Amino acid sequence: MNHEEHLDPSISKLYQATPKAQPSAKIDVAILALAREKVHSKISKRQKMHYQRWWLPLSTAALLVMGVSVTIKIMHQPESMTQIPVPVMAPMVTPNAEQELKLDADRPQALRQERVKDEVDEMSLDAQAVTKKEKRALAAKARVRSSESIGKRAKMENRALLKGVQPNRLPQASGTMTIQSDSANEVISAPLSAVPAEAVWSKQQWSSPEAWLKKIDELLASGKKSEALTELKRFSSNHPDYPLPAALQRLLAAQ
Amino acid sequence: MMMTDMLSDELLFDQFTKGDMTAFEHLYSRYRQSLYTFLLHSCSDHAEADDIYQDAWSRVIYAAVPFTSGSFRAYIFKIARNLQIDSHRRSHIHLVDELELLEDVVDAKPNMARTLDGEDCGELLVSEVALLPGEQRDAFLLKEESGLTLEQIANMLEVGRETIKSRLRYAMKRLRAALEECL
Repeated sequence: MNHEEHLDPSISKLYQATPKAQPSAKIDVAILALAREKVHSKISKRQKMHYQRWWLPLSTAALLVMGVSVTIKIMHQPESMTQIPVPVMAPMVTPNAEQELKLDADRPQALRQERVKDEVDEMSLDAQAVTKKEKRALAAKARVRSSESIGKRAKMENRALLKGVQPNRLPQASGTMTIQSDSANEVISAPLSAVPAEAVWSKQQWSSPEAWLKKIDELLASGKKSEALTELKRFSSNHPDYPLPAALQRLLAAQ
Repeated sequence: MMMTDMLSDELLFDQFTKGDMTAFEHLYSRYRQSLYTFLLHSCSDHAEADDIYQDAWSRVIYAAVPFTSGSFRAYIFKIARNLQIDSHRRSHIHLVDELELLEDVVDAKPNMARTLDGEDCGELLVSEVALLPGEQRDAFLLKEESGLTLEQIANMLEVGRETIKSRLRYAMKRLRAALEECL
């Protein structure tokens, strides 16, 4: 059996030779009109979709711009307008901290008294020639100054303790000095009255060479030659270029 | 123009779905004659062929599930054939499918060519094709008009390749017998 048996070329040829029927022009026009309508509806749909394609990113961008501008405006507003009262929580108080708080609470008054006393003593040393009236006025001034500085410092320390900050991290007030503790090897802020007077004195003089020299002169006058010499050495090491009086130069040279 | 002529049916249809009307015009001109002839030879009259032809194209244009892959040729001829079957069902025309009945039909109309002396062989062939049982006629017309391969026809009619071959063989046998004097 021929594998092409299902086909008959002569019949196919005869069939292909028959006149081909064609649809009427009316049908052609109707079909093409349908297709055109579909194309137009597709184009209008695409235009609609194009519109829908851009409005979403545009609205998103507008929203973003608004959000950013509002944020920036809030950030640049005065603090008082933006500040919201926040409830303050009481700090966790350990037994040690409680003791320190008690000590600090008592400290300002005691410190003030000691400080006033120290300054008055110091001034009495300085002002031999000053009258009693002037002495009283100076003492009153010093009292006010020291009470202000000590009070300020005590307030800062109290506040720091409440916030849980170590008081030694606070900026040093003029009325206090920092010393190194031997046992704990940590910096402790203490009022001047708690530190030896000499240390306080020498620390104070470092800022004013004239006063320091005056003190050395006084030490010499009062017969404390060795102390005067020690101070002189320290002075010359701290102020090597400062012109010393002839008497002190001779004393330093003799040593 | 030349470029569009070289494009495949599938590409033209794709361009049409993207809004290219010219692509559709080219595609339409390619199938205008063969599809209409196929329908005209399958249907009982011109009016029915016209209706089905128009309906087939409108389905191609506004298809709910548009053509995406495969052969566009097979796609459009399948639409046309399905519409034709629906139309026959509606008009209560029963297609002769059984082979036994086919033999009866052959015996009932012996040698048409001889009784129609002087008639054009082409016209005789067309009339004989119309008298073929539905399955054989479909196979023959699809083979001659659409230019589809046996596999494509088999896929379209959802039968095996050998079944199509068999149907074509029977159709040829009958046509050869009817057109004995012309061949």
